[in-house]
Amino acid sequence: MADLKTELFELVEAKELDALFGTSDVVEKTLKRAELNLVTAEVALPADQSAALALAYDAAGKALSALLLQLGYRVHERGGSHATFVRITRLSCLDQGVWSEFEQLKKMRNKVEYGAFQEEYSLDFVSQAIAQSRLMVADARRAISVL
Amino acid sequence: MKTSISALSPLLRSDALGFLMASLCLSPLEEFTLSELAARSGQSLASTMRDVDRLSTAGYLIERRVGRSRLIRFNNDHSMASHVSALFIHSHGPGAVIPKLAKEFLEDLQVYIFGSWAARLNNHEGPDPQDVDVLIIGEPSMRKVSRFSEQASLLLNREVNPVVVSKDDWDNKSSGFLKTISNSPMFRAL
Repeated sequence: MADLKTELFELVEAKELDALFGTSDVVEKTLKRAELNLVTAEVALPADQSAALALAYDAAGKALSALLLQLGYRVHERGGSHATFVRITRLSCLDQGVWSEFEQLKKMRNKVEYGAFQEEYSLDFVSQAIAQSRLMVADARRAISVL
Repeated sequence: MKTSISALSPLLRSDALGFLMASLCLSPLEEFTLSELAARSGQSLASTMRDVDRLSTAGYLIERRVGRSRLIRFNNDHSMASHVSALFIHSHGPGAVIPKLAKEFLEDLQVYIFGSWAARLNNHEGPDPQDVDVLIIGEPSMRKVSRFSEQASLLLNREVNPVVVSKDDWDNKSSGFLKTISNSPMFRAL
């Protein structure tokens, strides 16, 4: 746990995180919203892979926000917060095998939202992204339960 | 391959020289034969030999002979080695890195570079490409695509963005995105 404290302190020092008092009901509500995003992503998948992909990314992002709330922090409100989320995924309390795909998920979401070519991903690949996001949300829930 | 002035790097005489040097700089411990360098740079053996001779004379490359073969590698001890390497990896590195990593991680799939890097390679002048757009056709695992993208970004020191589409969608050009890129410059990487 000392390692985790150090990791968090470094992110606060770098002004990437703000201290915030989070209550357990807000943490649970945020996790529930992440899980709801995944349900909606599954529904959207056959018709709109780009929307499904954005929802899968949002779900993983909300799971990270819930974890931070549990720890008493939130991502600093400034440009580059998505890059901060990538750094949060490297916290030692998370399963790195699960979260190593988060940056790829972020890149894909950026491409469908802002790409110059209005990029699209295949149904199979977005389906994998949703499955991976589900693992991330579950891992955040596990990490929160043991903190 | 065209040997006109490079739009990927206006500092270079040609893309052939860019690809030749990028291949050497990206594998500084590896020795290449003239035939390998000719294949990588897309020019004749005679032109490759001329480029290698000039670069060896200036000390940028080191060569040794084994029988009748000339084995060539990048000279890491040259005082400008790191700068020269950064320049060539930046401009032409994608053409060497993406095929190599695609072969390693995305075997049996079709892989192309599209977007601004491919456009510059086709002499569409414009700003320096900020990222590398890669089209992957098939059904790769997300984990493999993620590893491919991570390693490529690390080697090229810029973001590499893979887009994955199914073979059916690609064959039918089933969306505006696929129609657009199929009519844009592309570089076959695998």
